[in-house]
Amino acid sequence: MRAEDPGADAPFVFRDGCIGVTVDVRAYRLSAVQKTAYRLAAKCTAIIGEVREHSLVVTLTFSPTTGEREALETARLFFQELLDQELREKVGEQTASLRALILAHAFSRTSLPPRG
Amino acid sequence: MLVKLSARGLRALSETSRAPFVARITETPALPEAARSKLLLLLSGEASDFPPGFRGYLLRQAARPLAPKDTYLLGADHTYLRDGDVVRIDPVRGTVSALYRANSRSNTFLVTERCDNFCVMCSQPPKDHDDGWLVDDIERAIPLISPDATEIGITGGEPALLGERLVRLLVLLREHLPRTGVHVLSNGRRFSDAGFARAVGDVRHPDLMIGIPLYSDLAEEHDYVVQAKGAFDETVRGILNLKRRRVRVELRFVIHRETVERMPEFARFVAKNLTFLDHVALMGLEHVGFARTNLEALWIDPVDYQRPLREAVLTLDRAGMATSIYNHQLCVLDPTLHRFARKSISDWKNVYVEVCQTCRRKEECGGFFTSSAVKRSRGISPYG
Amino acid sequence: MARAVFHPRSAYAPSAGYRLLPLRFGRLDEHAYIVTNDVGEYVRLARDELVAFLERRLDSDTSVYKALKSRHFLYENDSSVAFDLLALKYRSRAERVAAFTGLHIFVVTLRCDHSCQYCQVSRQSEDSTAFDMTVEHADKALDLVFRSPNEHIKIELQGGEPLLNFPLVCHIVERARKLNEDHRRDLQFVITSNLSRLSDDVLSFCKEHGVYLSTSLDGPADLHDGQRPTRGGGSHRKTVEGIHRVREVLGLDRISALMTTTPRSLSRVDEIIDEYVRLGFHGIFLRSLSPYGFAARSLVKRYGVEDWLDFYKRGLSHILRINAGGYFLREEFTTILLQKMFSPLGSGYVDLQSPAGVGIGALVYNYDGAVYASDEGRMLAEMGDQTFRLGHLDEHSYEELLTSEALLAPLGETILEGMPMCADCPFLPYCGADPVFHRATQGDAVGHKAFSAFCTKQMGVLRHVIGLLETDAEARDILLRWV
Repeated sequence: MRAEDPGADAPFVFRDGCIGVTVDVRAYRLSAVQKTAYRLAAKCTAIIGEVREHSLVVTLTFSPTTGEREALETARLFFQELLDQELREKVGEQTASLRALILAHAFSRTSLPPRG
Repeated sequence: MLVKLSARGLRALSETSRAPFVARITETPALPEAARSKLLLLLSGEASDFPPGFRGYLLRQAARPLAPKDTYLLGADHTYLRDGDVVRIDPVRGTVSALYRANSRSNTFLVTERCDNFCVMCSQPPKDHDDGWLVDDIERAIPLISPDATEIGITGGEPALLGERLVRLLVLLREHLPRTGVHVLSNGRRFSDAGFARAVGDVRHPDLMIGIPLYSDLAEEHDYVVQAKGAFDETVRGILNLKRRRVRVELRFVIHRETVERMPEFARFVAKNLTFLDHVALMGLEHVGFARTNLEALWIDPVDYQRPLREAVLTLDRAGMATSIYNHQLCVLDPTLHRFARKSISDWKNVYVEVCQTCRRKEECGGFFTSSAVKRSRGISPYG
Repeated sequence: MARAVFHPRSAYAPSAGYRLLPLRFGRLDEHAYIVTNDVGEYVRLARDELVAFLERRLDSDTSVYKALKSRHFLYENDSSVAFDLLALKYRSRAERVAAFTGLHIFVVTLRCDHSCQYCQVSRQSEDSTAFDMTVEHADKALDLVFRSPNEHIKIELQGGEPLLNFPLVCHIVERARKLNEDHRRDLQFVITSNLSRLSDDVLSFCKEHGVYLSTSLDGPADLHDGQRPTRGGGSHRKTVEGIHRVREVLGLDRISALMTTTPRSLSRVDEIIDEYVRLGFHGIFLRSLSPYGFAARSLVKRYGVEDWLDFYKRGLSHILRINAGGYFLREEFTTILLQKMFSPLGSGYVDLQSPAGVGIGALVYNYDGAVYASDEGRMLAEMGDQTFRLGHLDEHSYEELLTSEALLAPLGETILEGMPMCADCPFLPYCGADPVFHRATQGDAVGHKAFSAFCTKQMGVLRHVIGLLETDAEARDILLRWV
């Protein structure tokens, strides 16, 4: 799946109140999938399955009141969020040590804040 | 009144000292003899005799013979001299230079002409030569200045290139003129050395302000304007170091074509990062030095930058920062900005133009630099 | 002198390539994303710009690149001063946390002559002194007030209706000022009152001691009286008369008013705002209902957070029109958020702090001597949930109160940087933890933000305000004047 166009080639099927989606674990790490699932908790319950080959199956389970259109929209949203979440993980990796550095600098003695 | 602060035309009427000397002028012939040795007596009328013991004598009118050593007849450019002024006399070249003028609010010491920036609009282009004698004179002049002096400016070149000697100059000012405000114009770079900034802070001058120019929120833009790679980082660090040492710092932003585009973003940057500064001045261009050389590239009519200027000023004002607009005539400024406008042009550099004669707000307005005859805003029009 | 040689702009251009600084991002609206950093800077940008930026291939000539660089979202090898400035900004914001408790609320009585449906705590028995704070408890509380290291101290006298126990109000103010002769803090007093008992004695006391007043005004007379019933009626008339008398005797700036949004207010936001303008106020706080108290809970059920957001947005645009017409009026909730965005020190508003403002921002001394970490924590206690009770004035010392589990547990849990979803949220620097709200609605102090009305409200307001700031120049101009 290309990063720019989430879910374009993945026609979702809504059956028995569920949509199964497949995530390529070479493109997305598990923590990104978990955070996405948490974020969408008000819309659906995401059951994260096991990894086979490079695929992770996630079953989005909806409440009985959720209609098909809404469910398909949520599946689309799932991939959109997943993309953002994966980007966040990458940004976090690149900047975590810098954040620590800035904090250390902020509270070091040499960096007393100027006061008029 | 426009005065030439260093002018020839001094005529020796007696034997003279060989070396230049610094002395204060007095117009009180009856001073106790013990107090006379460092004073030049200025005689305006037809004095009948020369009270003895003064360092020298300056005459406005041709005198009788038998003048004592170091008696000079002043030339046409020297009429402004008066009691309390501190001057440097160069007998060989026949010049009188006013180092300090008692009746002026704006006295400035040029302490060096060297600079590590090379700003595209520099009003006082740097010269790379050994000019340590400039500070020698100033060190001699300071003890002669009246402690009632309101403010003294220190400028360059880059004063901070003097290093330890600048610190000693500040100590001298504090000791001799504790009630006189001192304003240093510096590019701030040398203060990126925390030890140097600390030394300046440790002077504990009671009324010191360091004015530092910053021309953009982006390093490469500032570096381009000052023509020095890495200057932005050094200047910002210098500002932070000075503030850590509780030295008061004023930011100075000169508005021209190369800086105007980022002026609102610059203000936002300052309001967010440098809120603790003591003053921000947004300044119109003075058309001298490199600014004159590069005027075609730098000139932008103030009328055409009122929108970004207003945005910048309001950003700074909302952040609670003391903000001023310098070097702008009231009639070219957006009316909402008038309360930020200051009469900032030194009294020996400012003039008004013909259309100003009928203006009812002339007294509130700073007028023009004498140098600004070259280009003038199309927005100039008198308030009726 | 040889002719000066100047180098072109390109001679000072940074070397190619940049690196990311710590940041958060998220969707702002259908058209745009937003990136923010720990010190509250933000840039609005399109999704493809965001992705290019994060993948470190954004063109340095673009204005969005320059904005990202200026606001410290990226740095180049040539310039590292961004780190110094970021550290400094971080520290300035953190200093507010270090400043510790500045607001001290004294519940001098629970008695009240009103029976407002959204009120959680008042007792209507006006003559029973069982619900009054004792002088002994007030004195013990005052000792605690001056133990807090804060330079600025605000003492809020609350109820019930505090003027029903006016002698204790006088005692607290006079004794605090006496104690302050030694402590020399910046001390301020506010009485939160419905003004029905505003007498000449009260006014002259307030004048003598520089006391401010804060009252409730829900809108036009019929709306106000409908939800603030009092024996004999006429709450609105009495409040308005009170406001005028306070202004006459004490001065224009000495009184402020607060409104509460009920289901009946929803369709009437313009009228409510106009009522504030008619009465000469320059600030209005469009407050949503708090989910505390049984009656309030049933009211809350009658309107959702989306209804309130709609109310707020309509109200804000009416307020902006009023400002555009030349009358200065600021919406206080918006102002708090704007302060978090644009003021280097952020805002001290207790309900929007990270870690949570409880205990750090405020301490509440209840009529019975119990000490709470926030006013809402006290209200929750009235419903039987003692989670935010720190201890009791008779039993615990200052140190014990401020190191109690009731304070430390929510503080530790509510550092937003460590909370699920919040940790990634671009609105984090402008938001706060509200542990009492989440305890009351979800049973724990952190809560699941996907189900949180607090989160929906915060995001809704922030998206709306940032949208206005970024796309409506006239609105931006007005909003920035409120900071």
